[in-house]
Amino acid sequence: MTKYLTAAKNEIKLNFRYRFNLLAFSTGLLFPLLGYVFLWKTAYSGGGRVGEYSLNGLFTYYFWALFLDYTLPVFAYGDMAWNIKSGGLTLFLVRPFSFLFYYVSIIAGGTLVWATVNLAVLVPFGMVFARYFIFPGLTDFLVGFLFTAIGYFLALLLGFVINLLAFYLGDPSGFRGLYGWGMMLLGGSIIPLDLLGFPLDRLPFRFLYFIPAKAFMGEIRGDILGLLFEDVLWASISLFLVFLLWKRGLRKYEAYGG
Amino acid sequence: MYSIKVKKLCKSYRKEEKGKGRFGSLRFFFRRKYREIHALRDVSFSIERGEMVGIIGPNGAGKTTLLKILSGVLYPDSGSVSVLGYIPTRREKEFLRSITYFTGQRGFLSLTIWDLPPVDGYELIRHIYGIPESEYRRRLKYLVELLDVEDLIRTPLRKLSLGERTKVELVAALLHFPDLVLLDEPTIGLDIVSQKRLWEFFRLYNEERRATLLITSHYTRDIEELGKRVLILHRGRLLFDGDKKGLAKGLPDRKLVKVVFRSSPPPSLRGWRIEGDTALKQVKKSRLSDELRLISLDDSIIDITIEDPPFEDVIREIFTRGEVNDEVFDGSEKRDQT
Repeated sequence: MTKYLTAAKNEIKLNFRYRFNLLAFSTGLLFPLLGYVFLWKTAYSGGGRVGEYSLNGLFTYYFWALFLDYTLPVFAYGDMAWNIKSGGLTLFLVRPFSFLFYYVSIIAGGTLVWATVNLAVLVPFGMVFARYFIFPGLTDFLVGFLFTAIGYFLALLLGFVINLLAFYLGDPSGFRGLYGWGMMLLGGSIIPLDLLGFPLDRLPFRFLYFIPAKAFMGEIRGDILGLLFEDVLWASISLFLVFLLWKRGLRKYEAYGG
Repeated sequence: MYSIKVKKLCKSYRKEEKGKGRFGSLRFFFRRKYREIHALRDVSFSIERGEMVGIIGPNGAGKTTLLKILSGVLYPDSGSVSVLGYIPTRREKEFLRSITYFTGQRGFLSLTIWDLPPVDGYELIRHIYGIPESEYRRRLKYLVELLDVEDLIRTPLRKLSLGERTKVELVAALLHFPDLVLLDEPTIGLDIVSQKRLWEFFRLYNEERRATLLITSHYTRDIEELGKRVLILHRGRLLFDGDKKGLAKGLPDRKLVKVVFRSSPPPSLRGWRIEGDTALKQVKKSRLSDELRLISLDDSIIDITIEDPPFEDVIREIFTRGEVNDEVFDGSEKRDQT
């Protein structure tokens, strides 16, 4: 276990190596949020209304959705596929060190840094615009945190599934792009799913942004257990797929490069 | 006691092949063609514990494939492999703790701690192999002194030169003191001085730790540096397995001299092959100084290089001299050497 903790520690050090990047990326988080504030303020100023959402409801939704967007490992770690394609995986296979757990560790290490910095930027922003923000009660916060944690695990596993396709396709970067950008729409990062006008209840992606954001807003109280069950089921299916792709992929691995 | 035992090992790859001509890429986009590459064909040999063995062969001979099968990374198509008593592809923890695979082209540190100093990577290695703190310090000191990298291990990896990176990567590859060391072209891209130092280091490591070392190279000149025993691989076949002294007798006593002229080579040049502004000739080592003396009188020469003859020629010569069974070179079945 300590080997994976050391890997996570190294990842934290690597993230702090370029301090300005950290700050610049997190500050960038504010731009879309500011854009949304002005867009919805204009939309609501004429007396209009977007679905069932109040202005405060929309602001709060986007606050959480953007925080999740920057924190969940959806786009992260394309070098996992690159290592499979280029033969870097070889250097993991010859050691008593799991390639998959290595990535879990460094993604966790990276998330710890990014989530902290994102919060450090978002909290003051939220305070400035506090009049638009619906603060969660303790229960809603805990439920939202639980859905975020499972959603995080689900995003990690779905990312692994896409990256492990490198065993079969060579380069799955197109799929990674499709998955990453598709997630933003199908997961509810761009528009709340209940505003889309068509149901996406049968897909796992809503558990990445939409459900956790709604949980923080206290809007899923009626069916928490049913949603938790479905969330865990999707995570379990993804986990099974990861192991299947890994086991079979290793036999197909061609270990290019010296 | 055997460290490695390989019997009738075969491994093939399927390689994509793009069509020729102007529309080759377009055809390739719609319809992929594949070609079967036989990386290893019926290879058999065994290596005893503590031996230092060189594997020589041109690019594409199957050297790297062989090392990757021995380290458990690749699955053989057929044949049997036993390494330190384990079946490599099972990748049991104890097996992985006892081996190392090192390639001069990239290292574990480059993949994991590119922006950090090597010591951070060594700390990770310590935990991967569960090396106790005091033992780790002792081993690190031993390897760092032997490879003379004391000043480098606290500098970010990305700031080191290729040669420096190779050395700090070697420390990472050997920190767990493996019983079997698989080195794939470890000196590639290094200058002659660094190469010599590494060869000395490998010999010392082999002697002091009684570890088994398998080293690949595609330079015929490395035969001098490698251990007593040499394996020659060519197009996936094991052509020679034996004492390098026996092989050295079969090596061509020639060098390839390339002379580049300012314009075209003078017509008076006899017995040289002319390629544009370059003249080439294979010259016996004993005649080398005479030949160079003669040609150096020409003041239109802008460059002279002296190289080993192409590997294909070397192999052909070895076999035409009858040092080993030349049936093998012609592609028929190799005799079982185990």
